[in-house]
Amino acid sequence: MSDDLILKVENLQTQFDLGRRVVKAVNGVSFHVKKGKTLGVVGESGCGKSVTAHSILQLLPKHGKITGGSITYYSDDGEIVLSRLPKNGSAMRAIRGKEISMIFQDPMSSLNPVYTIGYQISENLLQHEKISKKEAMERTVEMLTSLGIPMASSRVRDYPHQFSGGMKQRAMIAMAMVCNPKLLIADEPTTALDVTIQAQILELMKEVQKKYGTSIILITHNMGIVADMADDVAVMYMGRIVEFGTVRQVLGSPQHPYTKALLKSVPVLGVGKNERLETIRGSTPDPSDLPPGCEFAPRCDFADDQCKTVPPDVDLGGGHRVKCWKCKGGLLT
Amino acid sequence: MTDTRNADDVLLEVKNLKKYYPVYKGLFKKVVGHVKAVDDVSLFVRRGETLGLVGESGCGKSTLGRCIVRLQPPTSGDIRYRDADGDMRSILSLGKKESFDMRKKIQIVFQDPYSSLNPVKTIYESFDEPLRVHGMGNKAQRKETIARLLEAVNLRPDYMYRYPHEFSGGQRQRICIARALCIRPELIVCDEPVSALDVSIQAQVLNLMKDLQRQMNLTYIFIAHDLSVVEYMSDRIAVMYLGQVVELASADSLYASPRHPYTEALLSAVPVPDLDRKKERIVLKGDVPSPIDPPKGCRFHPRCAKCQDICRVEEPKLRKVAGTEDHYVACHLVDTVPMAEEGTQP
Repeated sequence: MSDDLILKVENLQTQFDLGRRVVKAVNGVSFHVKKGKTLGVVGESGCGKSVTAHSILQLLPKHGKITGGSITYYSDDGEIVLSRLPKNGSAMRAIRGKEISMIFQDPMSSLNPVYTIGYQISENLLQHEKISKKEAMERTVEMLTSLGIPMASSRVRDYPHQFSGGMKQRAMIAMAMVCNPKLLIADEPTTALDVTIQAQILELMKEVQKKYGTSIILITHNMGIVADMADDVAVMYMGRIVEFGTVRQVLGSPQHPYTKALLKSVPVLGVGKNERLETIRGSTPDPSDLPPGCEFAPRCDFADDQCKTVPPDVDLGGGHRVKCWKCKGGLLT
Repeated sequence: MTDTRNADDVLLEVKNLKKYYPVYKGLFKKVVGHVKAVDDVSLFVRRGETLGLVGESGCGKSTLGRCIVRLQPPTSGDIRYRDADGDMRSILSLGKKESFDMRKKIQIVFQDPYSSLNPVKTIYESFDEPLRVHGMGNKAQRKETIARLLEAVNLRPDYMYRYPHEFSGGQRQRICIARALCIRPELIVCDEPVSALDVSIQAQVLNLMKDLQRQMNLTYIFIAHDLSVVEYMSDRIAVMYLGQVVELASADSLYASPRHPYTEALLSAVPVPDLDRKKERIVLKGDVPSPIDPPKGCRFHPRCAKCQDICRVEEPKLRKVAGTEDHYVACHLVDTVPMAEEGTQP
């Protein structure tokens, strides 16, 4: 079973200790990523999807801490339990950028404005591989060319402000891909971009995946992108995965009330123009003061007293699981 | 909504509107060029309808919206609005008094609900100011109006004594909409009203806007970059590219048969959460060119797959598509009604 896995996360808990209050940003999350496949993680802002990603690479800020669970990375040389490695130790640093790398949400602010694009990309290579600066720069140019940057050999000397938004995101992808990582974590890679540029970047990520066999964790809030890119989907709400399954299971026959509502609340091009959108009443709760039991219960139409205790993971078969009391034993109508 | 163009229906008309921002360079701030944010745009809005404005960032949709509300003086062109007597009057050459009255009729809702409410004023104070300035009722009446408006956007009336930071994003955007409504405008320019909101909150605001439109017979100009949202909200849609309108049609017609290659690409680029609707995605090459020095001829030609010789030389005008009622396009390759005929331009 674990042969075809690249990453397994079990019961991950990440907290932020803010002095007076503790925010449980990730509250018992389990999922796995298959080799060469894409896992889509969807949810609204504040649901813990980015914190999950940052936990994997241990990029949490000072007051953030993994308090439970395990993250296992299956490298070519065997299993590595990432959550047990010291945060800034050499073992963790050897993995960051080399084995697992990350594309951040905002290309405008994730690039250092005072270094050239070429320097920032080749820095990663020089860190992980024993090659000369000249070789590193050559490989950087090669990478940028393959990502569709025209005249890459001169553009590597440019500074980030000389690049457009789409090109900056390409540079970010180049930086993440230049060491040929096994797993790429893309945290809202296209949220800051226009739709036509978004289409370019998504196509590019598909190509990269095909060429290098990279596994991808794609974090997004857009169900359309998930349908387009992902093989498996995890839907998150307030620090928990409420539904997990293949893209066909989750989007085709969503079971959790939150997933259902989320899918119905977005207008879809060319469908149901004169119908009212279904809304989810209220707004997301304060993460430091979550309701007891199921976090979605106060906004859920099906909730009753049972929902005041934490619901179990209900296995619906074929890897499709739902965290809901109401789905137990039968399908929710 | 009537399909034929009834002259009495038109509430607002934009004619050949241009907005250029000068670009300065050097010690003496010499003008070296202009950012052509809006370049020769003509369109009209009917009473009670929603006109959607879509396009990528930097295409001039927000500038156009701001020109209509007169937050920005246009460089040239005209904006005409139907006055109380039913005549179309230019709103750019109004006197001080008339201008003051006109501002009552056109209001705007901004993109970011976090920065468009004054943090040191209570909601009551923010609402009371425009009412007071426009002399709408005494103190007790004004308070009643505010309470009624808050109820209209599904908020409790006693919220008026709270400060903006006490509200969530969705609540704040509803407050902004209520504030735009408080002096009973006819036309509201909504500049990306839901872009900053989460999807579950977005639906609440969109539904509310549709309800209010029906109740108060409002006219919207709905600006957004999200095509699915615009298509859901609008009766007619104008697609903008590099400061120009490239296609203007009813929402159904635009979606069912887009004529301009850019609209086609734009529609195909929107990811749809439906696995069985596999469609060919048209991926445009390159980026949007600089609006300081737009390409000659058709502005879209460097990225267009169907580009012909004529596209590189001659700039296409927005004209009515042959055999349609209300579909305008600016493309050489589409069969359009010849210029000589009347009503070929919006």
